[in-house]
Amino acid sequence: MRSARLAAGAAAALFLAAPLVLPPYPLGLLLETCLFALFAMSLDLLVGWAGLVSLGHAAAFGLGGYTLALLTLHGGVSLLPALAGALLLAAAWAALTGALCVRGRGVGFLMLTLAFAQLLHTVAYKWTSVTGGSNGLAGIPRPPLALGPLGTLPVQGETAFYFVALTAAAAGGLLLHRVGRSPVGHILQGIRVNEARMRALGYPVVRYKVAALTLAGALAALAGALHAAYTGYVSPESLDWVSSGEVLIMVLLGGTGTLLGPVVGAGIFLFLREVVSTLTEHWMLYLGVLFMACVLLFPQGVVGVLRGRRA
Amino acid sequence: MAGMSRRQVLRTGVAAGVSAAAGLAFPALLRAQGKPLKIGLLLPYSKVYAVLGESITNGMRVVFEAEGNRVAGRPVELLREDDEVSPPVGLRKLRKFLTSDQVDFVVGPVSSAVAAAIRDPIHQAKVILLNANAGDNALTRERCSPYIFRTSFSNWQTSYGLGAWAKQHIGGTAYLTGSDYAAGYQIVGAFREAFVAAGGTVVGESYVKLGSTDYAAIMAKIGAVGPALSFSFFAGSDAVHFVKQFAEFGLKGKVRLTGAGFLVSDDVLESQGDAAVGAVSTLHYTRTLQNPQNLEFRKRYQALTGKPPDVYAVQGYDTARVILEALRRTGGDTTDPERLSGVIRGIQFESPRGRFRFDPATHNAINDMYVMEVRRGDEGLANYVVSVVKELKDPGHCPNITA
Repeated sequence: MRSARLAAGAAAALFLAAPLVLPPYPLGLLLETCLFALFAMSLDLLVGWAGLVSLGHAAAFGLGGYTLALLTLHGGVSLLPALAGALLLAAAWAALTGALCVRGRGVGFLMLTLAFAQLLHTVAYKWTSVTGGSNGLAGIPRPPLALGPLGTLPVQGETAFYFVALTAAAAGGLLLHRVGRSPVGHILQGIRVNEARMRALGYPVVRYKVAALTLAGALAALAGALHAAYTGYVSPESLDWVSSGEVLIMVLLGGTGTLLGPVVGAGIFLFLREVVSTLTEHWMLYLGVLFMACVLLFPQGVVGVLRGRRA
Repeated sequence: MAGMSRRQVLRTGVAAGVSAAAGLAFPALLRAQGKPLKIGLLLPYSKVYAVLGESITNGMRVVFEAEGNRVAGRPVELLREDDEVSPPVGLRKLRKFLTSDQVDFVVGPVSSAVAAAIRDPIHQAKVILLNANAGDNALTRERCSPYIFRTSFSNWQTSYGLGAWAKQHIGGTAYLTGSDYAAGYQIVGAFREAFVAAGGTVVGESYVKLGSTDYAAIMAKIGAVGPALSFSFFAGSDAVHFVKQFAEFGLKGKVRLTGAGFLVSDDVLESQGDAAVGAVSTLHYTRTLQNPQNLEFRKRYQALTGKPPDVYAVQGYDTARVILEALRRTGGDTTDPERLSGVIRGIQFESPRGRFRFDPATHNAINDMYVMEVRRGDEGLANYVVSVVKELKDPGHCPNITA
C-alpha cells in the first residue's frame, strides 16, 4: 500500500514537472495522452465494473467535441460553460440511448451501442450546414477559463492547456476511483459477475447500468470537448466505431477494472502509434503483432498482471 | 535535451560552436546555405489514398534527384509522415513537423478533411504549406491564407470547364451523380452551374455513399429518364464500379458518359477497360499530353519508378519545382515567411501539365483544363485531348491575401 502511494506520488510529480523538461511536441503527445486516458478510464467503468462492453463509447467523446465546437464557434462562451454544456448533452444522450441499449445483453448490447453511435456519426456526416459534414468543424477557439470572481485564466498556451487536461484527467480519475470503491461500485461489480443474483437480491439492475453509462458518457464528453478545444478541430471520425474500438484496445491493453490500466494503455497506444508510424509505413503490422504479444503475455492487461505478481 | 545520448550532445555542442564561429566570419546568407532544407511530406502512405501519396512523393523526387538533392546549396531532406487520411493524425504529425523537425515547407495533404484541420495551425505558425492535392474550394476561398498555396486544383476547376462543352457538343439534358461527401457536391455543383448557364437542363441528381459497389438503383433511374449525358464524380474503386456497371446496364451508347477527370483517369482506366471507351472528362493533366516537358517528365518518372506518371505525380513534380524556384530566388533563405510567400506568388514555369502559375489573389493554381475522350490510340487505352479550356481560374475570393 505504501509503495503504491509512493508510486502515485512519483507519477504525479512527473506529470506536474513535464512542461519544464519536455519540448512542445512530446508535451503535446502527453497532453493528448491525458485526454485519452480520461476517455479510457470512463470506458473502464463500463467494461471493468459493470461488464458492459460498449462499441459506441466514441459517441459521447465526439458529441462532447461537437457541442464545445458549436458553443464556442457560434455562442462565444468561455471554457467552463462550454464544457458543462458538452457534459450535460452527452450525459443526456448516454442516459437515453443507454436505457434502450441495456435491454440487450452481451453481443446484443454491443451491437445496440454500435448502432446508436453510427446514427450520431451519420448525423455529423450529413448535416453539413451545422457540422461541416465530412470536412468537420475547424477553427474552434481555445476559450479562456473564466473563474467568476477569481478572474479569467488564459489557456491559449500549450503548457496552460496541458494543466487543464491534466486537471480534468486527474479529477475524472479520482471521481471514478471513489465511485469504484463505493457501494455503487460493488453493486456494479456484482452485476458483472452475476446479474441474475443481483436482480434476485432486489437491486434495480437496469437503473444501475444506466447510471454507469451516464457517468461514463459525461466523462468521455469532457475528454472529447477538451480534445476539440486543444486541436481546434472536430470531425465525424471522432464519433466513428473505429474510435470506439481504439479506446477499447487501450482499456484491454492496460487492464480492465483497474483505472490505472487504461491510463497506461492510452500511453502505450498513443506513444507506439506515434513513434512506430514515423519509422515505417507498415506500422499497423508491428502494432498488431505487439498487441497480440501483449494479449499472450499480459492476458489481464499490463497493470493487471503487474498487480497480480505483487500480490 | 531529454533522450539525447552523450555523443549526440557532444556533436550538437561542436556543431553549435562551429556555426557560431562561422557566424562571425561569414555573412548571414552564407550561413543559411548548407543547412538542410527540410520538407515535411504530410501525405497518406497507407489505406485508401496510399497510391496518391506515393505518386506525389515520386513526382517530387524526380525534381530533386535531377538537382543532385541540393537546392541553392542546401541538401534536401524529405521527411515522410503518414497522415492516414485522418484529421487528428494529420494534426499530430503536423505538430511534429512544426515543433520537433522544424521543417521549412509542408507538402500535402491529399484529403480535404485533413487540409481543413491543419489550416489554422499552418496559418498561425506562418509556415508555407504547398497543398499538392486537397481540392476543397474553401481552402483558397474563405479559408485561404497567405502561407498556403495550392499546386493541384480546386474542386470547382475539375468540372466547370466541361459544362459548356458538354451542352454544345453532346446535348441539353444531363443526369448528375456523385460521391456523397463534400468534394462530390462541389464538383457536381460546378458542372451544374456551367451546364445550366449554357442553357442545359438537369433532369435528375443522385449521390452515393463513398465506397459503394452496387450502382444498380442509379443506373435504373438514368435509364428511365434517358438524358443526353450523365455527369459523375467518382474516384478510385468507386469509379471502376460505376463505369463498368454503366456499360453492363446497357446505358453506354444511349447516354454519353462524362465526368470530372478522376472518373476515367489513368489510375482506374486499366481496370475499366472497354467500358470506359468514349467517356468524356476534364482534368489538368493526362499522360498523353505532347508538350516537351511532359515527354521528358514521363521518361524520368518511368526511369525512377518503373511506372508511367499520373496526375498526382505531376502535382508532386510541380510542387517540388515551386520549392526549387523559390529557393533559387531567395538564395536558399527560408527564414522570412512573408518574403517567401511573395516570391512563390510570382513563380511561373513550363510544367508537364502546360504553363504553371498561381492566381495571386487566391494562391490557387491556374490550370489549362483538358477536355478528353477515352480511346484506344497510339498510347493504348488512354485519355486523348479533344479541346482545351485555357487558363481556368477559380472564381473564389480570398479575404486574407492582398495581391
